Order: sequence, then C-alpha cells, then structure tokens
Amino acid sequence: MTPYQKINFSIFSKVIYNAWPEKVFNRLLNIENVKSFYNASYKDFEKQLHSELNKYHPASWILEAYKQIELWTVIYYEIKTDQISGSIQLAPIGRYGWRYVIEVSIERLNTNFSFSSLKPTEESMNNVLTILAGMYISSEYSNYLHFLDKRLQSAQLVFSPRLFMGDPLLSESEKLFFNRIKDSISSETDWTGVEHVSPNNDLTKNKVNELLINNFSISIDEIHLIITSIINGISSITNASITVQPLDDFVDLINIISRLSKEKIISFINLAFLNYKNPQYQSRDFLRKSQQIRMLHFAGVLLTLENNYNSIYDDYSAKRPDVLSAQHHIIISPTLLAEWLDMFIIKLVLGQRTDLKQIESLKKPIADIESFYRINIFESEVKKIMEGFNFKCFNLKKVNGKDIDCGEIDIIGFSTKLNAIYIVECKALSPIIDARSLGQVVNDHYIQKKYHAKFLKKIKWIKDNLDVVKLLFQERFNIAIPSDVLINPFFVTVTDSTLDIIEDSYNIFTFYGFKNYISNELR
Amino acid sequence: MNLDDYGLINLVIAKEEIESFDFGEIYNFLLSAKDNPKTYYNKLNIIVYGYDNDNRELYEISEVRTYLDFLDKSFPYWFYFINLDIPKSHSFLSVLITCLCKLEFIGPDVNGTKTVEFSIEDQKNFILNHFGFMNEIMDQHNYPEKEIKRRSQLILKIVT
Repeated sequence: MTPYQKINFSIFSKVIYNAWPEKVFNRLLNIENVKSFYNASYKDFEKQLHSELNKYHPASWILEAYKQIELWTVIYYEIKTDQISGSIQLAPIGRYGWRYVIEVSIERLNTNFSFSSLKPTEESMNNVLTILAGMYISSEYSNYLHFLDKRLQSAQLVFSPRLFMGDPLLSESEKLFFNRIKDSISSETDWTGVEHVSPNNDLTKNKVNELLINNFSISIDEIHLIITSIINGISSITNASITVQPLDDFVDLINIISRLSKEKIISFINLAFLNYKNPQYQSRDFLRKSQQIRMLHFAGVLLTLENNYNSIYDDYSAKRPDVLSAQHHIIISPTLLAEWLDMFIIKLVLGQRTDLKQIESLKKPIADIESFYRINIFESEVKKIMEGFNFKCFNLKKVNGKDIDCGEIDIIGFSTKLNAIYIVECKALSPIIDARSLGQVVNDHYIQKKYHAKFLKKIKWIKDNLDVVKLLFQERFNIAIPSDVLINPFFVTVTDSTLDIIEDSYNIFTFYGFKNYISNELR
Repeated sequence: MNLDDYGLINLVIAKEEIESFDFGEIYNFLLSAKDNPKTYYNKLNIIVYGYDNDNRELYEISEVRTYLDFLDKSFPYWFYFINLDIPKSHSFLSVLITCLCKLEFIGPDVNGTKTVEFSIEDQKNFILNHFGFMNEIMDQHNYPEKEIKRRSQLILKIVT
C-alpha cells in the first residue's frame, strides 16, 4: 500500500506560468521579486486546493486526508512494514499538508457547502498532494527568503518546468550558507545517553501527568490504556488501522474494554480530537500564526454528520441504525494517537501549546512545567556539564540585594585551567523543523523576544562589572580571578537552533555540542 | 517534404501534451541537447501535431501560444539548435515567432488568404533575445565568428 504520491507536473507548470511576472523573460532577478513569485505561487496553489476540495464532500476529505496522514507517518518514521511504502522526501509534506486539508474541510463541513460527488477520485487525491507539495515548497522558500533576506541577497530564479524541484540560484558563498541551514534543519537530536535532558524525560512527564489528572481527569497511563484498547478491542477485530465510529459507540466500547469511566474518555476526546464544536475552536485565517487550533495538536477528529454517511462509512455501515441515529462521529488511529501523546508532552514542555495556554485554568500549570524544564532540567544539565569540567558556576540575578540591570544571567562559570569566564545563556527553544519554525526562532532571537540584544547586554554588563564578578567568585568559591582572564559568551540550546550559522558574535551550541567544545578546549 | 533528407531530430509536440500542459518529455530531451550542444547543433526540428482539422492557424490557438511561450521561456536556445535548412514555411522558428509575438491584426479570409500583422516590437525583442542565447552557447564552445555570422544571417532570413 502506498499513499497517493504521483505528482502532477502540469499543475506545477501552470502555477509557474501564472505566477511568473509578465514582463520578465526567463530570469527573475532580485530577492524581492523571487519572494513575490513564491507568494503568488502559494496563492494560486491555495486557490486550486479549495477548488479541488469543493468538488467532494468535506467529511470524505477528512477521512481520506486522515488515511494519508497515517500512511505518511509510517513512512516518515520509517516504521518497518512490508505493507506500506512511499517516498520519504514527500513524507513531511504528506503529514503536514493532509492535516491542512482536514482543517479546511472541518471548517467547510460546518458551513453551507455543496459538492459534486461524495468521494474524491484517485486523480483528485494525486492532484491535491501535488498542490500541497506546491504550497509547502512555495511557502518554505518564501519564508527562507524573508527571514534570511540579508544572507540570500543573490537569489534568482530561472524559468523552468522544474522550478519547484530545486533551490533558487544563489552565489557560491550564499549557496554554501543555505545548504548549511538546510542541513541543520534536517538534523535530528540523538537523545541516546542524554534522555534525561529530553523534553519528555521522566520528571517532566510526571509534571505533565499531574496536569492531565488535575485538568482533564486522565493520566498518561490511562491514555496508554485507551491506545491499547483501540488496538486490541477495535483494530485487531476490524483489521483496520483507522477507526471510524459514532462517538457514543466509541465511548461505550472503550469504556467496556478499558474500564475507564465514560467521563474520563470524553474528557480525553475533548483534549485529543480536533472538534469544530470545541469552545476553544476559532474560525481560522491560515495565514495568521495566532491561530493555534491546528490538526497538528490533535490525534483524531470528531465531526458532526447527520446525512451522507457514505462519506465516511462503507455502504453496509452507513445503513446501520447506530450510525443513522448518530450526530457525532470519530476518526482515530492508534499510531497517530501514540505519536500525539509524545508530541503533546514535548510541545507542552517547550511552550508550543499556545492554544491550551489561552485557557485560564491551564495558564499557570503550563507555565510551571515550562519553567521546570528550562531551569531544573536544562539549565541544571548545562551547569552540571560545566562543573564536570571543574568550572565553578553560579546564577546571577541580584548584586547587593538589587536586580542587575542586564537581567538574570543563567550561568557564570570560571575555569582555572582555561583562565576563562564563561557567560552562558540557556534557551530551551522549540525544535526547528522547517523554514517557518526557523523564521520564528530568528524572529524571537532578533526582534520579538530580543534574545540577541539581551545577551549582548549581559556580556557587556559582565565586562563592565568584571571587578564585581571577580569579587563574587572570591566570596563564593574563594577563587582569585587573574586580571588577564578571558571572557567567553555562549548561547546554549536544547536542540539544533541553526542560529550558530547565522550569528557569529558569540558561540552558539546545543548542550551536547557545548560539552564537546569544552572537552576539546581542555584537551 | 521528407524530413529525413535533412538529417534531423524531429520532436513532436502533440495536442494532448499542449492541452494538459505537459512538458515532461520534450523538456527532458531539450535539456539533454543543451548538455551536448555540439551533437545537436542545427539538428532539431519541432512539429506541433494534432491540429490538422482545426481551421485556425497555430498562432490563433491560445493554448498553443501559451504552451510555446512556456517552452520558450524554459529553453530559449532555438537559434542554436533548430535546423535552418528546412524551408522557411516549415521551420519551427516561423511557428515560434508567430506564436510568441502579439497578434496586432487578422484580416478576413479572402479566398484562403488572410492578412496577419504581428507586433514589430515583439518581433524585434524576440530576435535580439534569442540571438543572445545562441551566442551564449556558441561563445562557450568557441565557434568561429564567421560561423556565428553565417548562422545569424540564415536565421534573419527565416524570422523576418
């Protein structure tokens, strides 16, 4: 079995032709023009997507999209199976893009909609995948050019039917820079041996567990129980990896299999299923990043359907009395549910569940988990690394009872052997997975959260107040710091931030890169 | 006319490809020609196929014009590759220039003859632009000035 993955290059060619400026022959110069081309392409693809989706019933699209996410997820994680194969390069597009289709379709399902046929054809599925790939590519390059504009000034495009299959033309040095950025984004953190620092380590998991129990009346173990109940009680019997069922039936069945109370199961569904009727649901403007209720945050879908049951059920099931009398229906897969649970913990710990943070009662517990991870786990690990190399370290917030004006310095460490003071800023940034998340990190670093300017201020403060710092080391560790001491600033992150390629006024490392760096310095 | 007499490589663009905006086959071939320019110098001929039953001339069919515009933007090296020995009336360059330049006027059909006017400005730009791309390859491969001049004159005879 393979997901739909036949790219229709005619669609690409039409978009290229339409988006290309009329008066330009075949070479598009100037980064702004190149960016405009990608933006125009994105809009054209988006228009085509809506036109394709409008042909069929939105509930059918939701189910078909869900099936595609399941297949692409198996390919993405390279889960060994003889039954599913597909292009690993297309997997991120498939996983992200089909989620977008669900978001658009659930919205359409809840408005007055019309459709020509119930279920999308194979050709339509391939066309949608092509369009999603086009949207992904256009938006990626547009974001790269926007956020890295000063470093990609040479960008040009040459007209070609293969234009979406490669990078814009760049000068040799900018190409080198861009390739490093892309490599950095595609690199994954290997947590082997450092599991205790990962965002879903046992300690943070316990904190998330508490939050779930206190606010959703369900524990992580109970969610695992639901997953196994679906696998053993439903999937193994139906021989299907995706369950489509009337909501009430699903709740009853899980209640019987798992012996969890119906209230718990419903509370879990409210947390883990995308639902238009959810009080937190907002009608979305997909271009605005403030819209946080995204399929990315959910494992399953809860949809309202009172007719056209064939859109999600087979002919036999669509006539079943329990289906005909049901208003609400669920779509869920244990694979996606298990992935969701992992991602739920990670996203919560790294502050990415801004949708949940909008709920008043969750604001504080989530903020507490975020700071617990940042301070007790991550900063503490960085400090331990330094102390492991015989650094004397402390955190500095106040001097003589007064807050220092540059803001709290996470770690100041001194190594006698290196005769150096390390100023360390620890940031548990969200992992960068694409150009957009890179943009968010770059934007936070320089503009929105001003990490760069704040860190420079801290470095300056240490240099300007070296005598005070020396005194503090003397008082705390009885160390006399020599006058020729070196001052080295370090910005340390959990996962690869890509910032090290962009910023060169101080060292930027992951915590494990930082460990290697110190080890080499001391060699 | 027997095209084999000219030692040509004939590429056919079928109506189906034009209607589905499919450039896969032809573009792949043109790219391979660009990678080995000397092998294909003055060798290519392109035939647009499938419109014999259409009363309109190719330059009057909008999807043909769009398709060739796309193809030309993707591969503007025709002046180098197209065979110039074929009579002007059958040359792809004639098809190309009439399809890519704006139609200013089409007169009524009088006994099977129509007066057609194309934008002079567009024709001028087309010629200059494509000479630029021809020169790019000929310079890269050190063609003698004499050959470049000879070819340029032959092209001008076809496109003007």
